[in-house]
Amino acid sequence: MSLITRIPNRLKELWEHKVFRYALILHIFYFTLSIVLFFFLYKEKNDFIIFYNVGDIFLNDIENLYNQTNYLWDFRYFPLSALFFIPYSVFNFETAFIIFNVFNIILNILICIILYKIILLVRNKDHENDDKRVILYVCVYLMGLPHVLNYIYGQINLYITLFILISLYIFLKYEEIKWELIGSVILGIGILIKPTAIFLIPFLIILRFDFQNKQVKFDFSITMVRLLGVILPVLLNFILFVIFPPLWEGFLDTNFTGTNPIALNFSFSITKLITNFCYFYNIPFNQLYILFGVVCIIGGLGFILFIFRRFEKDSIIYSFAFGITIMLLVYYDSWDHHLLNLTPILIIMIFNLPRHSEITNSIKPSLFFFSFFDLVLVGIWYLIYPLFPFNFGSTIFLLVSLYGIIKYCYKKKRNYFMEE
Amino acid sequence: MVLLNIVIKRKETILWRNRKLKYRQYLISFLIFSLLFSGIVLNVNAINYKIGVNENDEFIWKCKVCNTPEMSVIFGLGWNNNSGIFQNLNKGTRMKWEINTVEVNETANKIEFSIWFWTQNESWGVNDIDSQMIYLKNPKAYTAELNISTDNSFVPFLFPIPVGEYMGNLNLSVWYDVDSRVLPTLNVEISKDGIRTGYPSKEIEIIAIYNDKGILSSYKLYTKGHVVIVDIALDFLPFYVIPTLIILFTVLSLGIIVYIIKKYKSISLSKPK
Repeated sequence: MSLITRIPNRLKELWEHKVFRYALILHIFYFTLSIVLFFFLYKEKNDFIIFYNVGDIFLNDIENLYNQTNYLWDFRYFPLSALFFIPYSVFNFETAFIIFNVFNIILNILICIILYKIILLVRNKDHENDDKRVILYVCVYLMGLPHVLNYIYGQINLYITLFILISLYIFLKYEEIKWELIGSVILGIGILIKPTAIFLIPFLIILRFDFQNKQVKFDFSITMVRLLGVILPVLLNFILFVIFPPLWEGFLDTNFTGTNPIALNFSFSITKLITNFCYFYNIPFNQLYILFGVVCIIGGLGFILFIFRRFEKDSIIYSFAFGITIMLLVYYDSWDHHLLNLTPILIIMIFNLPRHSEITNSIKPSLFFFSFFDLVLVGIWYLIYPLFPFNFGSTIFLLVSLYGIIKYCYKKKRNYFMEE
Repeated sequence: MVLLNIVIKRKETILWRNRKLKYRQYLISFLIFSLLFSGIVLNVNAINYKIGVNENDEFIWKCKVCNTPEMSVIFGLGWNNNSGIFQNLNKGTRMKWEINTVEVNETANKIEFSIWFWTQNESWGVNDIDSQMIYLKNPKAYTAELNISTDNSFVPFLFPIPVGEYMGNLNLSVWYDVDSRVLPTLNVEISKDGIRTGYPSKEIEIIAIYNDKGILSSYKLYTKGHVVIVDIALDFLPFYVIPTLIILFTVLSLGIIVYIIKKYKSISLSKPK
């Protein structure tokens, strides 16, 4: 059957599922709402303004790419990420926003397809054979409230999610070394667009303590290929940094030492909760030291614990889960829409874990909280920030997820099917 | 006859296909056209900047922290003796503004107000001075680069609304960085000797947050390492803050209690009798 006939048939099949109908209608509502809100409220207060300007500045005045007077808010990503936004600068701003969000919908469709394919690839054998539950969870992703903010702000998280999922699919599906390189390069492109996935890099290292033989196992060649692949697209930026030295200064200042990292906001990362605390109670602080401390404690601990995992099969899923959860816990700005990078990974984990695993009990509540309740707490933050400027709900659920992942890594008695 | 029927049917089919194709072309053209021009049509709705305060409104700011010796080192002795906004500033003092008139014309907004400078007194008495502020309605109309340094605070106590958009469209000098992603915030960084030799004598940083009425709600002046030298806050708490906080913590506590009870029950059920 050709692809053209398969798509309508598959859509007809999916339409039979009530949850799919709801998810689709709800998602179209999110999209429409974002367009309406954009024109009436957020046209001048929108992340897309920055992306829209960046494309133009990259072409015409690259040395001033990090000159923040050019933007309403700071542009803080790698310089080459601007390439992705050049096509939008051809249109007027409003049209570009609509086209950008239509493209976001297409990205979401692709994400759902690849998520579905990954789940079928790694699903534990004691799960149901039909795909009803898979469709349900893919719909949970599609119905997630973080999509609303992602569309309204004109954010680029869906690019990252897609690149993360494609690379994960490649790592899981193929074992040849060339595919390891391709998967890593794709992940590197994701990091190039937005460095949020940078904490995934250490978890690509294939290093494990073998409890049975009491020895450390390290796959040097694959690790090197992966690291080379992931760093290659990022390294291309350094060509620009060398040619235009002000870019390097601007990049460092905007991301690590400027005033932006200390502004009071509803980020749920531990680093931000600490800086908010210091800001609120007038405690002297250095945001870089706080970031460094939290990275060492959460990131370092996570990495060490991951080395001592008791399994290897499908461990790349848990690598990605570790990397993204740690990133959300440690970087200054972890906002509601960034959760769109994590929720698909949590869904994959739910299907990879045994059907009635107790670990799922800590993953599932987190998934539902991130999908439907985090945005509510963001709203509450606006009401209470003069007295209590801490948005800690998602922090707790991120820690719960991290605890679940760590617990799974140390589980001695593994499910029969997993061992097989 | 049969052949004729077939020929007619074929012709009808071709016509129908052509029509369908035309309709498709029309539809696609319409979609592209509307997409391209929707922006132009909707772009007409430009922001109308207003003044968020009304006549007879009163605002009181409270000074929570004031490191007077450090301020003297940074700005020189007498920094709080001149007629600037920090006149008599000390920890625990309060300052009051009362809006007298708000005038709006096509190009500018003018606010006239009375100021009671920083004092420990509970009763305000007669105001210290009358002052005024004029803001151009279009922030982009300020062609020269702006430094808001006339009264030592380096940021104004009042802005037109929507604040974030107004600040974002101002042509501010390199000292300033607007961040209105979450709360309308004006960040100021002035290096040592940034204004003139010995002034300020140390690098300073200011974080000024405004509320939805355009009033300065929090002002913090730091030196290196985020050591707070001055902390001023609007002495006003919206009515919903405390009830929301109480509800939030009640729900949170109940959630934790229910979770503990459930966990306890499941453990006691799983124990062999």
